[in-house]
Amino acid sequence: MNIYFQEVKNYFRVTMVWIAALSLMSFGFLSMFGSFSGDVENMKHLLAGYPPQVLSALNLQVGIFFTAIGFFAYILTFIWLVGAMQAMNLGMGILSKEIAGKTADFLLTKPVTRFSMLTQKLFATLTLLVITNICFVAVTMFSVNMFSKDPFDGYILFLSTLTLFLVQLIFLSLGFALAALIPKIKTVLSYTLPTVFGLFILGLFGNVLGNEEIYYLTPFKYFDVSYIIRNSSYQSKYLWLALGLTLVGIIVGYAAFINKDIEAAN
Amino acid sequence: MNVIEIKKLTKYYGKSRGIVDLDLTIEEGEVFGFIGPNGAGKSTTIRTLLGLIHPTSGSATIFGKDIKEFGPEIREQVGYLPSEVFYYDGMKVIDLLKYSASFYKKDQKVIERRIGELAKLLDLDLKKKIDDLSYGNKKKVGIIQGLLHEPKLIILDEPTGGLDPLMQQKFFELLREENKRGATILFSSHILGEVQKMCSRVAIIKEGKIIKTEKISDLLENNTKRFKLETNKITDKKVLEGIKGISDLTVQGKEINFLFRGHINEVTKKLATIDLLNLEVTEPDLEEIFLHYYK
Repeated sequence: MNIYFQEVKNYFRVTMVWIAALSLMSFGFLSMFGSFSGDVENMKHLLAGYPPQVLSALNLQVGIFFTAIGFFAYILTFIWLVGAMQAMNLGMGILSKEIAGKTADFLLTKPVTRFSMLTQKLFATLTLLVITNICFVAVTMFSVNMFSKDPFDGYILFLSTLTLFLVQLIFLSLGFALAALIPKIKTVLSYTLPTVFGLFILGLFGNVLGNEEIYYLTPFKYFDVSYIIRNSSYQSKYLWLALGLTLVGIIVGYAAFINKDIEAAN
Repeated sequence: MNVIEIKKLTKYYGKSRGIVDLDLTIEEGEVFGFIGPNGAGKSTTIRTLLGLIHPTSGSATIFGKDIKEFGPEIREQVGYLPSEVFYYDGMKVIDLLKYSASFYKKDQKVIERRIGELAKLLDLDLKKKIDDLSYGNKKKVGIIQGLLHEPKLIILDEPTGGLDPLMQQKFFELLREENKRGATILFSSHILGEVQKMCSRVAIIKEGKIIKTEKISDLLENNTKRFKLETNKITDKKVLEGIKGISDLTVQGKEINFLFRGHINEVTKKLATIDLLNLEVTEPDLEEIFLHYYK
């Protein structure tokens, strides 16, 4: 368990920064809802004048935009984006730093199996993401409570906020797998930034084109708040896809890292 | 008992050779030297033993246990010091060493006491951050980190780089003490002087294969000599070229230089036919013998 505690400690501070960023996004945006919801009729009128393509590119669903949860759904897309960065950096960094920093020699010549090392690191990342999401869910629930004048469905809001964790799981395992597969990673950001933004933009394309096939390719399209509002549940095919991808990433990561040759540092 | 037993160990990195059919046995209590030039396969052998890289074929045991099956169990009793040490920069030395200690089953208090002793001996400030350490001081962290759990087998891969001569001496003393305590030492190096100083037996590795395993004393024994002749007349190289056991033969004007390994009479008979001004026969050092094997 020593690696687990060491890693939670190592990443605790940077996780706090991510938590602050995500919470601020949620709180800040929802605080606008209070002033904005007074002017609903005008806004509806204004938005009706926009071409539908623009609205879909902006990911605006006029029907639900004026409820607290619907309003939150709008910022949620961007919260996923930030959360995905956090998760992929974490999943990739926690493995690749040992190779890049050449500390793998130190770690792997200790009496520990690679399986155990990986498991401890994986659980450390999961712990950090769980902490992140507990804080995020709490701040969001609190903010909606504070700024929404109308009553809202707490369960639906909870399901919606929990999507952050599910999206993060996919990116965590993607980073984990890539870190094990790519021989040498100098900077994590040079992989995570293009991947996360690329998939995000792919999702926007999917909106504009209305192409559902594209949705399968990007985790940013697996969860749809308007679906959650209508059904009080996730779309099961996407939920399974998300969990399946997470599992595959983790298995690939384990297999690749256990068989990896740690070559001499020079 | 054999502490290390390597059988036909082979490692290819894709198509490029690491080591080929390497056989090696190291007995308990030995200080075993492993010498060869860079790229000969020393590190590949060591890293395979430690489980850092996976062998292509062949097998090896440490303490009688297979390295692939019992990696963690073996490493519980192994201390390793690489040529270059890398640690987590943000950590303090003491935190790193405690982290290192936490991997071992031994009583942590005993280990901590030993960390203190070793730090005092090597004159290392435990409160400093790893980033702030000089190369030499990082090396000291490496030494402590490799010895803190009193391992039964110490594996050193070109360990002395970055240590000043005084510290090197302290380090060698420390190793001798560990050896007296019963630890077996595998000492890899391309610096022959230090191998000569430390080791009782030595294996010479070249292009992934062990070309000779010998006792240091045998290797240095009288059967290899360096001859230096000064002649009256310029002598043809061919006079000496035919003799078996001669190597590194150079003729420069009236000066002839060569290494000879074999029956001394073979040479003296030939030398009797040459008009000599001067003859010098000396003990070659390991360096010379080594070069002679590598020609």
